[in-house]
Amino acid sequence: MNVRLEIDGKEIVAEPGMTVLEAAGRYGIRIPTLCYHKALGPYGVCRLCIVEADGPGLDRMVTTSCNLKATEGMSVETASPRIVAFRKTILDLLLSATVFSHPLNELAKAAGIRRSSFGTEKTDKCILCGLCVRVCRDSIGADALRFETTGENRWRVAEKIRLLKERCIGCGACAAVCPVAAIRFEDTGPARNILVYGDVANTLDLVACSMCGTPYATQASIDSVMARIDCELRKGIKKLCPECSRIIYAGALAGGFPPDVSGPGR
Amino acid sequence: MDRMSETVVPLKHGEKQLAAVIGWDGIQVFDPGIDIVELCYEYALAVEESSCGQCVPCRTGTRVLADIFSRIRAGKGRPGDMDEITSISTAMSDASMCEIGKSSPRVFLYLLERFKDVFTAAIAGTRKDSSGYTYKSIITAPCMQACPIHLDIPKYIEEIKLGRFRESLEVIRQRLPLPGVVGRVCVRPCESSCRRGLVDEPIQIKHLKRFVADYPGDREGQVISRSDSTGVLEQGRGTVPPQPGMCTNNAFKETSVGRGSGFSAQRNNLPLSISLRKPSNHECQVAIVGAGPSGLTCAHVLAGLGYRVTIFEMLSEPGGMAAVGIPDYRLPRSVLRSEIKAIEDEGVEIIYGKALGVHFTLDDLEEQGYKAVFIGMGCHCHKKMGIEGEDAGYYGHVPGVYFLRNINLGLMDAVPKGKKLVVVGGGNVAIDCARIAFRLGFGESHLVYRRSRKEMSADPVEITDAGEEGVKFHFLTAPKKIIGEHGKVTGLECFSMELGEPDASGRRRPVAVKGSEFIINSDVIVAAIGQEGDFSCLCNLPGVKTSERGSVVVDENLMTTRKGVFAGGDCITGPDVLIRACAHGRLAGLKIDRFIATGKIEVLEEEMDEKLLNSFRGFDADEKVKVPGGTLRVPVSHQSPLTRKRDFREVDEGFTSEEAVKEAGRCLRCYRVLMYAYAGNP
Repeated sequence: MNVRLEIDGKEIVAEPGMTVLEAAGRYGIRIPTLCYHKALGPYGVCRLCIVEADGPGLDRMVTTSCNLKATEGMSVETASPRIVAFRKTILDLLLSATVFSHPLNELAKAAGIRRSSFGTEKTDKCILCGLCVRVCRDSIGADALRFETTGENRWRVAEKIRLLKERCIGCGACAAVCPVAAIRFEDTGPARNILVYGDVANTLDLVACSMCGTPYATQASIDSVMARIDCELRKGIKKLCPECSRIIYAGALAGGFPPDVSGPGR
Repeated sequence: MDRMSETVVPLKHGEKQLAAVIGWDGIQVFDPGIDIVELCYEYALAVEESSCGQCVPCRTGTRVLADIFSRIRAGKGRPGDMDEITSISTAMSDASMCEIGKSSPRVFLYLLERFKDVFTAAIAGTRKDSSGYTYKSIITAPCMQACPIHLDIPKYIEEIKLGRFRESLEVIRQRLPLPGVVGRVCVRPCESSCRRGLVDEPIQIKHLKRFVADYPGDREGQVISRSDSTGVLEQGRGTVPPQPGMCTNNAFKETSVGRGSGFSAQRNNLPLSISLRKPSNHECQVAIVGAGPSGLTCAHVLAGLGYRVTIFEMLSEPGGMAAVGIPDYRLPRSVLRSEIKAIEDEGVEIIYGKALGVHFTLDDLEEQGYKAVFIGMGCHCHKKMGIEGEDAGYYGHVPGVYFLRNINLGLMDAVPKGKKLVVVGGGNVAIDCARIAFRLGFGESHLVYRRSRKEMSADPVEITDAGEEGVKFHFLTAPKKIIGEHGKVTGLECFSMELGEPDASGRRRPVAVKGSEFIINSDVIVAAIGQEGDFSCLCNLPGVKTSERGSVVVDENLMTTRKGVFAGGDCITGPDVLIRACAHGRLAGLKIDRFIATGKIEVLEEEMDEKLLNSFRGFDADEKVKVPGGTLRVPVSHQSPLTRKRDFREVDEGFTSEEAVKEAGRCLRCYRVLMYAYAGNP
């Protein structure tokens, strides 16, 4: 049974189980968020996706939309004056208490913050959205990134990110999901460096493309992909860099399918 | 906490007269000399310290607030500071994830309004002298406050949420050495004080505790599905921590295959490493009487502090009532034994078959060089029903505690046999006796209780389970006479009752209906209407006083009237819940340590904290919790009534890891910070 609700005055039909954030997205209503990723589901820590929800048992409650289930008759405001003010304060706080990064600065600018109002001495090295930790554990299955604490404060759960070298497969998924570029990777010839907070946290060898010979991926990440592919399909797969596979598949479109990957394609 | 009220009686922390108390919802000032700005600064520091660091408003907001109060205090306040505090506090209290971030800023908003001129003056550079006060903070939560042993429940649930099961267990073991036992049989005072219950349903704290206790330690981060009995594991995934108030849609990628029946919990045999542990620097011996929950907990605490502990147990089996009073289908013996084994591995010695007053006396212990004694001998005697035929000695009439004990010790010759069993009573022992009957081969099991179902003191879950298994309940029925023939029970004559006026316990007193007598035919009658202690052994012992209602008399420090002899558990309270016995054991252990070290008995800091906290309302059943509801508890699967009722297999199967993480994700993490200030140095 689909549910009908109202978001910013718009009548919306959501599928059962959908969250308000997802439902709004379907109708082109953008709710800002930093810690939500479609592939990972809600975590609810950036608190930017807050909305005012009204309806049975809600009583104009301020709550995060990433984990709020859309229910029949619910009425949601994503940009009421209260929400806009809160969101701005949260972004301002984030900007004030986090090491400078361009993406974060741009986000704040978009929200109308020119420079942070609250100066603070202790700054976090990233926004601690946990996307890298979750993608590594839940999607990649490597579990190489952890929240770490200095141990000074017994209640603290998260203070920074730490990379466990021996578990890292160098796939780069963490860098792909990081909204503030706190984790990056750089390929320098035959090696890939994973940089956490600008420091090299791990270095892995790259495997050469079977066609052009350019180093392009780590063996462990290739193995991880292979392990997820059906046995039969696995046979026909060649180790190709993105550029070569683009050329081959483009050629295949011209000359038929499946592509011939036995010889040089150019 | 109530809003500002200056007229109330000043609170105390131990002997210390407090100058002010500031908490989640208000402030109480008793000493006008105290500086509000300083108080706010100290409170902001304490709140920042207690933020978990996950959600942005709380992590950064508490830090910025502490900074602002710090500069106001230093006389470097800026004109816009009050507006900044207001905007940050408002955003935090509405948009934070858990109660630390929600509740603490509210007090700032209130104070800013109430003491506007004080803050304005401070920003302008004039403040009163604030030296000479000491500030201390306490972190609490309604569930922690309700728990007799004050386990840090939000903390260990948070660890489960993050998939760190081993760390979660460590949190529990810091206070409680029997997590698997308590995780199975606890009556859950915490769950009745759970704020999530005001939104939809309370968190299943007991089952979460059991989950981490059962979780095999070497498989951290991996998901075990119930069908997986072969030890082949799936990769850990789907453990995205769901958040307070969240819905159950896509947060979880279900990876578990269907439920099979082959799941057997493997015990977590990690060595106990508790923070208490320190090298044994004193070879002091402590004797403990009774290897029950209180004695074991006491032994664990003392062993952790480096003492040599010897437990004297009367029976051949350790565990006390947990072993002989609780059937295996609720608490498998293997669970109890392995947790006791872990305590023995800490260096605790258990000597079996030795009863106080029979094989040794307190004087003997003293002579043998024991520096202190803890008595945790429980409450193993039954109460009489006071009805006709009770003393006739009919075969088939047996008190509940003895009935369960003989079954649990495997003394089946002493257990009366038959086809139809009738239990009298409404507590957990009565329910246990009624349910165990099927497992012994009885065809029918009846329970006679003089009040209605609502008044039964047994765990409602147990009552439902018993009903499912086919126990027939006779409510508003009281026994009148045991009927026997040729020395054998043949039936129980009963009255029908009706409920009259409420009695001292607040429950309506049942009154017999005249002429309503009827007979329930039966082969076995089990009387389970309560227990009392057996202190015949103490009667002739100088120094240890017992009360008329059959319990050992102790002072507020759990010391008996004989110096150096402490007591706790059922033997001081009468039949009570297991977790309270553990709490007594822990406290007594800490007191014994102080007693041996200093020769004095002292009230512990944590006891003073507790007393102070109890002056405030921890859990408010009328509170409107602003969290979207509708995320119901994850059901715990159990064996079906028909298959389980004929053997002693464990009824509840417990959570799988993904179920546990999901259930933990419902926790609202209701931590709150209370701070008190007093004149003088720490």
